Amino acid sequence: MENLLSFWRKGSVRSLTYQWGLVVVIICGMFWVYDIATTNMARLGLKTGFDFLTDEAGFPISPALIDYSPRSTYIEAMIVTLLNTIFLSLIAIILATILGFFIAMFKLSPNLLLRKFGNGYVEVFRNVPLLLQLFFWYFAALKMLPMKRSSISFFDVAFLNIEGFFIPLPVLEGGAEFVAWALLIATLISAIIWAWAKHRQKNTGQPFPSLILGAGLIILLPLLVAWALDFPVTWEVPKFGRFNFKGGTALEPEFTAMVFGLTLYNAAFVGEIIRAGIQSVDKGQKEAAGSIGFTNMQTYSQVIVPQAMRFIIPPVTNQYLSLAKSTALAGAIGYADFFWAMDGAIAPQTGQVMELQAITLAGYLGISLFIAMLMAIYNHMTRIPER
Amino acid sequence: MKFKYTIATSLGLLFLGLITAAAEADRLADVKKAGILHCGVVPGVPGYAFPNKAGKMVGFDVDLCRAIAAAVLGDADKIKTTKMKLPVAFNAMKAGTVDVVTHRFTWTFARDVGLGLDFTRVMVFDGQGFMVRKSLGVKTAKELDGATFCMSAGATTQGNVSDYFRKNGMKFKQVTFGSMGEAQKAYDAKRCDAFCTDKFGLGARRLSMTNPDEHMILPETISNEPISPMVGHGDQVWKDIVVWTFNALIAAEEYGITSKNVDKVRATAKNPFVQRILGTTGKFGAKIGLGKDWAYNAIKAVGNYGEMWEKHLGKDSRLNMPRGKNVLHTKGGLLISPPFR
Repeated sequence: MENLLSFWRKGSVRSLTYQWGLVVVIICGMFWVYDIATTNMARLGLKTGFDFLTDEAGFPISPALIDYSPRSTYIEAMIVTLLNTIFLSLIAIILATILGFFIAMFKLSPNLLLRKFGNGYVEVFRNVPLLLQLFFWYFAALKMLPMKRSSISFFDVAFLNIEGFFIPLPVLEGGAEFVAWALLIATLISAIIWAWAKHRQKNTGQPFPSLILGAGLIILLPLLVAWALDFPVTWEVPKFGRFNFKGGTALEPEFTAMVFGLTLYNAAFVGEIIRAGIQSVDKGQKEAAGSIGFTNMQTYSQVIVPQAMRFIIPPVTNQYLSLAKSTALAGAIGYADFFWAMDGAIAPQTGQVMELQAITLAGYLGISLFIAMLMAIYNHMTRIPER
Repeated sequence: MKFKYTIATSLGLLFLGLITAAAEADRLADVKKAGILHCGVVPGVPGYAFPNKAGKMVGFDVDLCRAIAAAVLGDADKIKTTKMKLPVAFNAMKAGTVDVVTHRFTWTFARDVGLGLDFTRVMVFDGQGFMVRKSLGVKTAKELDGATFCMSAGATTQGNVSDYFRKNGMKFKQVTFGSMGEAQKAYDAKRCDAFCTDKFGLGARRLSMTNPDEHMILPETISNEPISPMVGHGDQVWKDIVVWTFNALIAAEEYGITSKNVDKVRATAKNPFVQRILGTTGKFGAKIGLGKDWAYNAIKAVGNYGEMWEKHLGKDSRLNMPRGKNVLHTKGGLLISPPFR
């Protein structure tokens, strides 16, 4: 008895018992729920399974980044709309970061007007519900854009009206692949130069303008190849048909309103995170940098930002995740995102609600984990190495 | 792998599992005990379910609900209406949080067999149509090649338009919204050339446009839309009550029973069918667990089918829609009640 008690008093034994006990309880709970649910579904005569995924979807999706028609299957519809969600998230994350950076700069500016503007911006945009902002931008855009018969023309190649911004679409001809190769080679060479320059600077302290050189290379080399091949691209210009412009490609107001709404809303949060990150760096750092002759630009890029990043990345990752998930509001203003397809279009047609919810969960989980992974890699790269 | 699947599925099923566990079915007893009938209705379509000046929901769909409340509880006002969008209504029906959904839902195969719910009987024979601006100068749907359509997701609308245009070798673009309300607002803001939904719905929607006179409804009807209220699957007694209440409203029109003359008819009627409906002979009410006045109460409260139509959708309403196929079979329509025998 005494032995047993002292065995139980050992910390590792107790914690293991508790942990495994919890695991068993959770698993039993899951099976209990699963059993109730399957029994009830059988009683209601609900069919389960994923066979419906290869049935014809029957509804069109616009915009679609890859080939899609109403004859495509449900699974293709899911992929197309998932790509729409990812595309929208990416664009909005990039723009919200850029705008957020400026907001942070405004808020830190010694200029009173800019500072007040930054404050006002943050307070307005982060305190109004996102859905409301989306409706506002969408219907405001529809009110402001010109009617189809009075489209605004940009040099007769691009047109703006209530159905969107119609731009020419490049049609690649023979030889276009060489331009792509040139771009790839230029990028590779730039990367090598950058690595070499970094190595040299570390050893000798000599700087090398690798960024400017690389950018020049990446722009000029493909252009040169294209020029040599007499520009192997023709442009498909939008033409007005019976109802609207045909040909080319269109930036539709639903997408634009989504990008606007998501960017403006999230930039307020991102701006605050960046501001806080920069302010978290002790001002002695700035003074020290100044005292050894760093310019303002160098102080920020070499001293302040690398330290601020440590603070910025975790909360900004949260913000990106929140942004990606809030794209699910897109269906409200007619943008065909993943949630729109799953919950709005496919669920009422097939009635396979449980399966669709599982796929939807997996889809958003996948996107979120992917973003979190990229940010974790970036965090690892920019961390300050410590012992 | 199998195990992971099980865990994922059980998590997914948690919600449905828990709520349906609580909803073992004896719907009639539940409604009687609660003393109130829970109805799911469309969120705001004039004529079907729309708040009046006093803020009370009124309309054709609401009256269907009131008729059931009158038959079951003896009081048409003992209803609670919940506005429901389409996927929500299906889930609520499955979970049993509403007793009946009188939303404007098309009866389709996939919905009937796959969703754990039952359609009761067709109360409106509708079909999908298009609304366009008169200024567009379009006379028929055949001229809509290349046009942009505003519609709501998930309804049969999407598939119908797609099928129609595919059949006629025409192209179209669509902007599909999460709800009909936003689709209508976008069309009203001129985002689309055409707006489409069921024709009787279009007539109602036209009235809530900024300027109703700018719009017209094209002659084509591109689909069959039998609109039927729904109840949960598996409670046959409850389904019988709902179906036969609706049948009584249609039979009442056939036998000339109205909300105004129902007392007089009950006192004087010689026709045995009328006597059975109104409970002066036979025990029809008792056979479905209701009082002998069940149909009398329903007719007294909302009138017969024709009265309901004219009051909410027809001549006496702002919609002023013709009944189309929704007239009695004796007048060449599709409405027929199985005999009360």
